[in-house]
Amino acid sequence: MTVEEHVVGYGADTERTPDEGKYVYCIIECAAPQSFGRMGIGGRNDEVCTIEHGGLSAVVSNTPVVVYDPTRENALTHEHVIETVLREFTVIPMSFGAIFRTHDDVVEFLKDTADALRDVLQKMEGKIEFGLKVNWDPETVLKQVEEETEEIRRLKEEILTNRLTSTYFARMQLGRMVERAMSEASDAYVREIYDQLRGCAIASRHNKPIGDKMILNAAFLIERERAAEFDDQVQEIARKYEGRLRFQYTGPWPPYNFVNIHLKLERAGVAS
Amino acid sequence: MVVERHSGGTSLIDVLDRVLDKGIVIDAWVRISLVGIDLITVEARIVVASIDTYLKYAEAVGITSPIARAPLGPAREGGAAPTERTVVERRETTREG
Repeated sequence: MTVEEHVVGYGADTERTPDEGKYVYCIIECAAPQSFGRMGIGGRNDEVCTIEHGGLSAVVSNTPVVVYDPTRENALTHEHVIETVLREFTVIPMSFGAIFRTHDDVVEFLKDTADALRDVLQKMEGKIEFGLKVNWDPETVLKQVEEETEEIRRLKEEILTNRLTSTYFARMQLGRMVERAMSEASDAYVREIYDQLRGCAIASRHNKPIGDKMILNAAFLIERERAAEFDDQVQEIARKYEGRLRFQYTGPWPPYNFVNIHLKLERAGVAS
Repeated sequence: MVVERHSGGTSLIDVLDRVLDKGIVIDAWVRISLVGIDLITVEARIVVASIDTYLKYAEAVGITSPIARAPLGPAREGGAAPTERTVVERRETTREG
């Protein structure tokens, strides 16, 4: 995965500190200046504070204008700041690595995107995201599927005991049968998990499962007040499938999976 | 407790999965001529994936199967509902001088 450079702005005027920029973590609705502590990206313990315009605030820290690689330390710092802000505010997260050259660039950014930001902030008010990944053990499920499906069991037995003259076609057929049965089993689990959880979720996002053990990679948008209720539902479904499915449950996150603002900044001709 | 909820920052994979390409994404490497605050012309194309479509998707989940891609089947990012990808585009041009 390539990481684009996110250096925005052009600091030709050298009266400003040429190499100091503003790393932007997220946007909140807040008119009063805030400070979230000295935990900025870059390892210098820069203070994380806000730049405000029209009631919207960008949560920023000073940084040299460099392209940050998403190393473990940098990515976790980015996330840690956002998590800290999330405790008190509704947050629109910036993706990793956005640096503006100056304070004024950040203000212009807020000015130009204010309508969209307000719109999204209003929709995300009081909402948080939880992540849920569900894994199964393909070997165990395979064994189950073989035991439970009569035609698979029979075909496998015929192949093993070599009663067929040509096993090639039979093996192909067996493979397809097993694949379909596994797929159906996975669908059934996922459907049941969703049925359990959607009652207290506002929205859900189904991401691509990673690896062959994962059958569900989802994000759920939850009202903050209903977080405990969602917890209970996750517990309940996890208890039901204990030993069969493994749940990885994370959060609260800012609503990354439910906010998608794509900014394309262009040089728009020659300004007078 | 059968399953414990871990706070976001404890899994690097989960963090990277989110912070690299989600939220507010600045698309292009751009240079904005900027002299003080008296001049800036920014054309911002804002694409907000409609929350409403996600809500609709949540409704549809479980009713419209298949909602899951089995590990053996062809996996497609974004799940099954075609409406999920629907985006609302808004074009804004601000000029101040």
